[in-house]
Amino acid sequence: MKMEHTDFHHQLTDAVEQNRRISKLAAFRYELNESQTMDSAPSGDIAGREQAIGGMLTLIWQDGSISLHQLTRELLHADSLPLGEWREQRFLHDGYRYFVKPSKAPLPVVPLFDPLIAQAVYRQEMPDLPDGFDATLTVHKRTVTHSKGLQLEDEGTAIRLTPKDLSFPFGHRGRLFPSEREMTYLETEWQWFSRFPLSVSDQLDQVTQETVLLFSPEALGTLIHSGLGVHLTNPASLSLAHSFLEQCATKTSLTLRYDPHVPWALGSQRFSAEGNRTAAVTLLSPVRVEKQVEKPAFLAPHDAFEHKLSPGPSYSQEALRLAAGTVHHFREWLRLKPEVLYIPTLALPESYAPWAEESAWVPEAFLFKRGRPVCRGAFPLSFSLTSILCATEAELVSKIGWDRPGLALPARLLDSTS
Amino acid sequence: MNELVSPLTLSLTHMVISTADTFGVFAHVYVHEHDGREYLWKQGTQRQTITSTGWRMIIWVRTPEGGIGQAATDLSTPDAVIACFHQARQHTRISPLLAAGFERLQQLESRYPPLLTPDPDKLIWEKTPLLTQIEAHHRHVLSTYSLPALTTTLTLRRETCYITRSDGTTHRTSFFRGHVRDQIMLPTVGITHSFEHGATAPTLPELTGDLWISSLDEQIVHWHQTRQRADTCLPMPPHPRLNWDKLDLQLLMDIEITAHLLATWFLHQSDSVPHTVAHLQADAVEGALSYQPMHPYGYLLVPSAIVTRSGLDLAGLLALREAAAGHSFSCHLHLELPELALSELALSDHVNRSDLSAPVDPTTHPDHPHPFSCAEQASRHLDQRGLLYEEDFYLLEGVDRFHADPATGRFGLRPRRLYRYEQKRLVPVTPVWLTGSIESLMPSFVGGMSPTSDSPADQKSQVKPLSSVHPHLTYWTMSAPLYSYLHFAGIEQNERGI
Repeated sequence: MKMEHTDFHHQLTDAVEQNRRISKLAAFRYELNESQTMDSAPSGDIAGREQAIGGMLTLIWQDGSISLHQLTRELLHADSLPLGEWREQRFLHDGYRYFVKPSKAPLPVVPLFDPLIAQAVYRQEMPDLPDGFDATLTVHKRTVTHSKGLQLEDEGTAIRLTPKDLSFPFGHRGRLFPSEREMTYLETEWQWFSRFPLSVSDQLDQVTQETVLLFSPEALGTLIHSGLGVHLTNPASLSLAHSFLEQCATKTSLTLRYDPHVPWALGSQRFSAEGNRTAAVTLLSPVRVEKQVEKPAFLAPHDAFEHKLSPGPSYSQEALRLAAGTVHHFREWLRLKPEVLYIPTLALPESYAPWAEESAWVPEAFLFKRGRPVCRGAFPLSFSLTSILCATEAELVSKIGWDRPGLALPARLLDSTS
Repeated sequence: MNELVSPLTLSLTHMVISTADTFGVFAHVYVHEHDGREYLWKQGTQRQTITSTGWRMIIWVRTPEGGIGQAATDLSTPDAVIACFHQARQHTRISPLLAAGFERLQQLESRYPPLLTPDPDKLIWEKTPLLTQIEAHHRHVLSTYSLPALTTTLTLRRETCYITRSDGTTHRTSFFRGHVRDQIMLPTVGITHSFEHGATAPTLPELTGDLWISSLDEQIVHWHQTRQRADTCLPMPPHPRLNWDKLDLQLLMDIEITAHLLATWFLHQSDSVPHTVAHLQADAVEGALSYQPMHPYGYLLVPSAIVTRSGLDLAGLLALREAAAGHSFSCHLHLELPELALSELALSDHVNRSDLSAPVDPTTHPDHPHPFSCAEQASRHLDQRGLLYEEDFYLLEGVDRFHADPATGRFGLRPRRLYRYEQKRLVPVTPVWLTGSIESLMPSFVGGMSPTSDSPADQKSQVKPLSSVHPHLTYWTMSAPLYSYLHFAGIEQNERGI
């Protein structure tokens, strides 16, 4: 990807090093996210190619004050820096003045870049897609840099295949273009699924006690993020998250990790917005005897921005992953279960209490009987995060098209259906 | 007037129009520029200011053969703009609906005079009294309710819009938009609550915060009081959930709920509307948070009826929906319903917008009947006229949870308060989910009841932005009757044992 910020970086370095007396600047740092997207089915009438830029510039002035500026393409291409205007926006703040020391040790090796996707986007040529799917391909580049010598860059790709038929609930998400085998699987699955006429029901929450609920990785991510992830990234409710994890540790049979180093996973990244190496943290693991449970540290760095304008924050809910001794393959697993209610997505408030009874809205769920789809419908799902993460009969399920496992558990273990 | 638009923007748009002439195509150019500040207070102190600027050009190209193409760029250089023009020119396609949208906007625009916009003054952001007003409000909320975590964000933006077309038409405007949000986090239970308000004005000094602060204060007072009061609700037999597609239901819903449903209807793909008594109009209302007088197709946005008793203006609706997806556009939707013949009720001017946020407890307004008591009177009135069926009549107030899927048009809504009509009165019952498909909304409206007032501006209540539930509708506003009355003739289907 073409570097858009080279001149901008030179101008800033110049203002800090050569023209200190005039500029009054002491230091700078910024995080920049550039992305280019290609869509096989452009939404509306926007031509199917979008370039986006986002980021945040922090300036540290010689009097100890700082100022924050959103990065836009307009600003990156300006002939000169609007230093006078920026100076007027200074304020005092204890945070932000901290700089990550450039490390001599190499960053962890995490493959995130698929040349096939990148070439397709640059050449504007969509590769052959499986029948019945639309694709969105993205190439993105992250830069974290500061005037004390740090310069980190990372390039990654992403692909999302969405079924053209809205009533088919399986797509593909990841960083690698799917292989021939995977594409054949997706096509065959769609053709198989479309053979069954589905009825619509609004009483899917009144399923039998033996029905197994299967949460897709996306639905599971939303559940864990709003009930736990949000609290782990907010200093005000961090202790709430700790006491919840302590409570769960003796009951769970699952391992929950925040792992940004999984190859080709969407939640993976090698460094944070401030330039720190990212680290994997085990949040929850089965503890059979009473012992002191390790308290995971605050997931966002202490000087994290207090706003949400900066895209690509260090914490990504997609890096929350469950693990267990056995992971079942979707097809074989589905065939063996008498009744499965599959939940592809769900909606929740921004944050909720992890042990309280909560109600999620499921816009569309699919009921399978003996491996075949029979009906679909929307319903409110009552649950508590404790009942999900501590379910004794929980199983992990993997599937082609998912970049992390989904979770299955009997419906009777949730408060609502017991 | 030219000071409004930078010489660079003028020269770039001129370049696009002359290139379009060379290629024998018709061009519409829309430029949106913004310059803004975001101020943040946390736990009583101002923590940070962020500056942002942005520039975006959208080019539409129409060929003599009827093809329409579009492209956008956020880089204001001659190369980028010309590349954008060619991208639009090379991606044209025949779309009768899109062409109809252009025609519709053209027709509407020709009936209205051009916009008048004051000349800009030199802008000094920190001179606005808003900063001290919002800071005082933040500290007041923090100390009054001893909140463990309060964040207040004030966003101020100067927006400039410039449109020009190959037929020689140009329009320009500039205004200020202010938006404030209070966010309360309760760390012991891990729940977050947000309250927001905002407005637009031609100049920064005219953007004052009195109205916002009183609205935010009321929202927070209401939240605090309902939090403390444990409602004694009856359980909710016979329906564990209200599905308006399946049950015979008569619903009286307050404006907040109507607005959420209306926004979902607006975003959902729907080619036609069965017969309805509703009248829905889109407008650029000066002073409203949603004010934006220019459509990204390159036309002035003038009042237009989307839904009338005679049908749906599909081209107009799609043109607005398409613009909503572009995020730099917002609009005001205004719903009118036939007034329920309840003139004898005490719906006088004291039932105004401020009462919307007031608690249900009638003792807080000893001198006035509360909107709730008006709703109760309205229910009795409908009952006396034989229009109401007990057990199937519900009053819904406030939105506790709302989720909608614009693709399928299905939604789930849990009101903050739910009442069932029993023995000539409205009895509070445990709030349950109301679900259904949004297509049923328009044909089910029967009428509305609104406060009467001498001032036409106060006649209809307005609701705060819906961006949290409808991400495409950032800064959109709605007005509707205080209560809407809907009748659903659903068909009970027993699908148990599937």
